Amino acid sequence: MSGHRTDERDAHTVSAPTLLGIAAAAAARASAGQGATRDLMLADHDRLDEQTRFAAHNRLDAVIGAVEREIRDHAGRLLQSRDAPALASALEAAGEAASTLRNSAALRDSGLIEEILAAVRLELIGVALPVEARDDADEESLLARLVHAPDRLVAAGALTVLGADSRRRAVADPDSLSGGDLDAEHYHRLVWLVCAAIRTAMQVPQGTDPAPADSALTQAARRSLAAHDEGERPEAAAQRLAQALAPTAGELPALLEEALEDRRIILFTALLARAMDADYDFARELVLSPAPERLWVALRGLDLPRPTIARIGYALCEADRRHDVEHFADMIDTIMALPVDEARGASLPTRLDRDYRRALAALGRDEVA
Amino acid sequence: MLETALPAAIARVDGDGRLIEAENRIAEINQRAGGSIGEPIAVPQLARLVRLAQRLGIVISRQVIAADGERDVELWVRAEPDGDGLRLEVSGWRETDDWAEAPEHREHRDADFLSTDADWLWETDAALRITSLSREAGARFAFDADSLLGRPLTRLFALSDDEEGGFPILSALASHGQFDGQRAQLRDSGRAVALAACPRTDATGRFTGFVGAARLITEQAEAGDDAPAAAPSHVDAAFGERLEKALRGPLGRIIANADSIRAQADGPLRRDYAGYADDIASAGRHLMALVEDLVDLQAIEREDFAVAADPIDLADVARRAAGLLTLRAQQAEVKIDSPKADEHLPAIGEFRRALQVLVNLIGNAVRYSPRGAMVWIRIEREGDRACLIVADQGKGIAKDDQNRIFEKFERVDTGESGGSGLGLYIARHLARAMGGDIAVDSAPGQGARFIFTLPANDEA
Repeated sequence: MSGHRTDERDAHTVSAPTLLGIAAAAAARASAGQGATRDLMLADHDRLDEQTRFAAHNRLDAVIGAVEREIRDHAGRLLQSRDAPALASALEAAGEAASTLRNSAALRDSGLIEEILAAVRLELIGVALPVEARDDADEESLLARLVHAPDRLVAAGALTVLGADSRRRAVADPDSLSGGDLDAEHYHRLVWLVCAAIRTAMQVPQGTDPAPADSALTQAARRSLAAHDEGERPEAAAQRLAQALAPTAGELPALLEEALEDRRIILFTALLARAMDADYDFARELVLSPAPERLWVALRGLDLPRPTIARIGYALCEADRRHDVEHFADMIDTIMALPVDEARGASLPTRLDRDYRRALAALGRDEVA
Repeated sequence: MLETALPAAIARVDGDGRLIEAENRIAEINQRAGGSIGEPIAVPQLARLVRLAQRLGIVISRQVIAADGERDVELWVRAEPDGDGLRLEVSGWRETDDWAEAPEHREHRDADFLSTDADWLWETDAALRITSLSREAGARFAFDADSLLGRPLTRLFALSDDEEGGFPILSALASHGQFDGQRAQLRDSGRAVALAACPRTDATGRFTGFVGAARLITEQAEAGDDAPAAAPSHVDAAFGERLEKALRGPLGRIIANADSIRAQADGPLRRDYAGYADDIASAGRHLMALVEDLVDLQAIEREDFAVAADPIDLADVARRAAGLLTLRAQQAEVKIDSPKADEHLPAIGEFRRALQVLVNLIGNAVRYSPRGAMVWIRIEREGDRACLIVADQGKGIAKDDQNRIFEKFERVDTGESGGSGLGLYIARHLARAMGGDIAVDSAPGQGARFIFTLPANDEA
């Protein structure tokens, strides 16, 4: 058969960098092969669904991209003003940090991907929640009502949540997203990672002192870190509102239900966290858990009335396709039969401090987390 | 006010899930599924919902699609525990295509459609309090978004009436429909804006708020109420054509491939993947229809839009249009009574455009006709007018809605899922461009008569 494919590279003219490139590509293919093995062995319930994968990818790229733009712009301006045009052009020519970072172990270990995945998953559940019109058509939604609350802290908190949610909703336009969407800890790690990735990608011309580049990047990173305000995030705003509301046991059920009816899942999670006296991440973990029983037990531990647990369970089962509402309906009597103290006790060991839980998990004590 | 669906039918179920009493429509669908009063509910989707509401002890509202004989109907069901038993309220009763998109997709699609022409987006709750408004939009268009959140929509916009003294937003509120072209002023700056919005509803069709768009009206556009804002350039026309050419082929392939993935033509698939393919196919169909409508819309709204003035036989055009719709009519079990082969109605117009108008009118008549009904097409000569009448036995259109249905993005039935709401708007524009018109004559429960007129051709 004609048209037999031949290797188009001429063995005699291959340069050392090309050879290294070929070797690197082969190594990458081998590692992709390992990825395929992992993928094949993955259980269905551990697999990301396409919607989550797509949304998380977009969010990750947008966040990294926003941080990178800010750092590059400022570092570039600094280098120009310090009369280092060679370094400025090297910076301009350096490849995108996002592509370097995406495949790096450093990013995987930073916790950033877990954070983005969890945030995206929660939002997707929020969007899929069933809405329910109020019986009185003129009744305001929860946050619109709280904006007029006589308590200044509550009113300000509700306004901040509405504003933060508006901004994140505008993220249909990814340009509007910024690193400001991350908490301080993850933002801090990401900024330095992006800085390092840009620096690694820069090819400093021979004979040029690279020190001004390091200095400019460092200053740009510090500037971004100083300007970061994690209080602007919907999660932080919702936690502040939950604290300001400080609902009594009598007020809590209606607030939890209304937050879900209005599709304010982040506020629901913050209210849950406050009621359990747990941190937000823990409450989010409960809401996102593939085994919803943990959440049902925790709700029972809060001594919520049966209809409230039923409405929360129904709404979350409808919104999260991993859950089966029939299974929940089969279980609700068993959940209600649990003594409240026992349910509270059962969720207690899992309420340990987040960092302590992470450390235990890292040491292989998964069952504790 | 136009009803979005048939009114709710009520039934009662006892603690063991047996139907104690039921109004006609529920009794009938239950009977066709093999059930009867005193027995457990026989429609599986309803039975499941009843059981769920009973076990959870809370109100459950859901849209379900249930088989009714050979057709599928979309039902809006609300199951409310009441004493030992349960009260069942079923509305909707709309027939669905097997590829009908899920309501949540409808919501996203409508919002996407709005944002294409918007300077910024806003959302409200059912009480018209602003629940989403971005600070960036406020910064760009000189209003303080943060201070407006949670406030009435009218704190941001001062609404004004249109030329006919109407407030589109009010009609939309009454019918839970979309609106477009609501004139308003930004209170902070006095700048003129045009508002459009889609309603959001819950599983039983109750209004929960608007997702809306705002577009600044430039002074130039304002001054030119009688003429288009900017002279249409050749680039526009060419762009429309290119758009159609560029999108039609790829969209066709997307739809065809997604359909065969959904049908699992090449072997079994995980169920959610087949579901994704279904979403892709219905989104593709929607896009295709939208491309066609937008190309038409762009064409007819151009100042230099012209149609040919050819001698045509309107009776012949009607027979051809009816022929094109034969399959759809058969599926809907509707008969079309077209003009006989020896009937003629000479008129002046453009064949292709007249055909487009009639396909729209007859297509609507078929869509809104009950099973077993008849669509009549009659021809008449009135003075210098050639009149073609399309009459159906559907549920009719209330007087107040007869103007609204010819507006952009409106539908004969606001609960209708398909289409862009541009069909009648385009059809009337085309009829008027040919020197004719489309009028409607109807009353609720009496069917509708659409009268398409063109100048008669006396020389034929």
